[in-house]
Amino acid sequence: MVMGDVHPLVLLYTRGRPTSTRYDLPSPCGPGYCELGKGP
Amino acid sequence: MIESAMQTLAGQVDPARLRRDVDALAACPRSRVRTPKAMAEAERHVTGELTAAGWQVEREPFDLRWQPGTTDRQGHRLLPLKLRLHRRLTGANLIARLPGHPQRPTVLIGAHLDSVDASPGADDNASGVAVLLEAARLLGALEEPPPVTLMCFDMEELGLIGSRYAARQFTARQEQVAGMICLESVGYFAPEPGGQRLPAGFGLAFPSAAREVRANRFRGDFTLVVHRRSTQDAATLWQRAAACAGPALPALPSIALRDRRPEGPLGLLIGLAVPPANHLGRSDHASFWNRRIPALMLTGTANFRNQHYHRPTDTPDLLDYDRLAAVTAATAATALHWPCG
Repeated sequence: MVMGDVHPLVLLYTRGRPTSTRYDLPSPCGPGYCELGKGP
Repeated sequence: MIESAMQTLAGQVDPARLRRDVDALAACPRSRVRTPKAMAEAERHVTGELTAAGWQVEREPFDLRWQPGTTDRQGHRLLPLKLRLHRRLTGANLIARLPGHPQRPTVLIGAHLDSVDASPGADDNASGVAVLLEAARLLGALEEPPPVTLMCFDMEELGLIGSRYAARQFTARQEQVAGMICLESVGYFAPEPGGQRLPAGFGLAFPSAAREVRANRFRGDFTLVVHRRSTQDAATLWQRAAACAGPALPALPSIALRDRRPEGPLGLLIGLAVPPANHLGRSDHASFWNRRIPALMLTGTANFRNQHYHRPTDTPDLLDYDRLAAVTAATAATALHWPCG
């Protein structure tokens, strides 16, 4: 839970875009697993 | 009937598994920015447990710039304002669905995975993630896959960053969401009289709920169900389920709190005029409210009950796992019986 004195205006709509398309995570450490920011 | 579903689920939920998940998640603070290795480890734990329960897990990365948000540090008393403008935030949400997920509007169960700086975050919010994982095991064992989607949000403590992004993506993809259940700090209870506090002005803004707390001698033994008109029925359903958790689990008292602000950005602006109302939007469900997606929040009220909120002492040994099990069963039962339209 965010701290109590948060101004409501910070909870505005988000902006931005995905860095890549979504991809599956077949196993936490197996093929296809992506380190954050490095892509599949 | 939800009562019979609740009886079945209450017999299957395991408080020991909840404890194991909280222990694993709350071993150290989890933050994409400050402790990325711990965050990656928490992600692996969640992904592994969901996969073992039969769910397909996807990772939805995001890279956002110039985001208004909050700090996850206590700061100095002379600098009480927690607002921050985040220059760049790179993180990821986790989304899980069951194979054969029916093409119907989905019920979304969500909890944030991160914690604030220097706190292991057992209640806030390893408790919520543990409930999500145990609910995943219950729902994954059903013969027919239910229309339920699970989400672990990133960077909630930085200003609902992950859920704001997720809600935006749901809207952009035009995915139909029947409703969202947000699990936020659900594991800490203070059942002794005087264990519960209320925010300033709460009695004026929400007289009915304040009366209930007062009549119960300010015992912090309940779960708060924060909802809007769009989730009134779902909130009632959750309360009915929680009330009949016994005999397998303790019956769980609950108090419903309706946020009367309208959906969408107008509701945010009204929060400027009624400060106590802002406490009702302090977690990821608010991101969905702002996108006009029906949502409710289950919470143990965090800092209004738990003196360890956002502190290094927010540890797994302080949580009530039997009550947490009741929260789990009631949440799974509500997701299965989510009221239509």
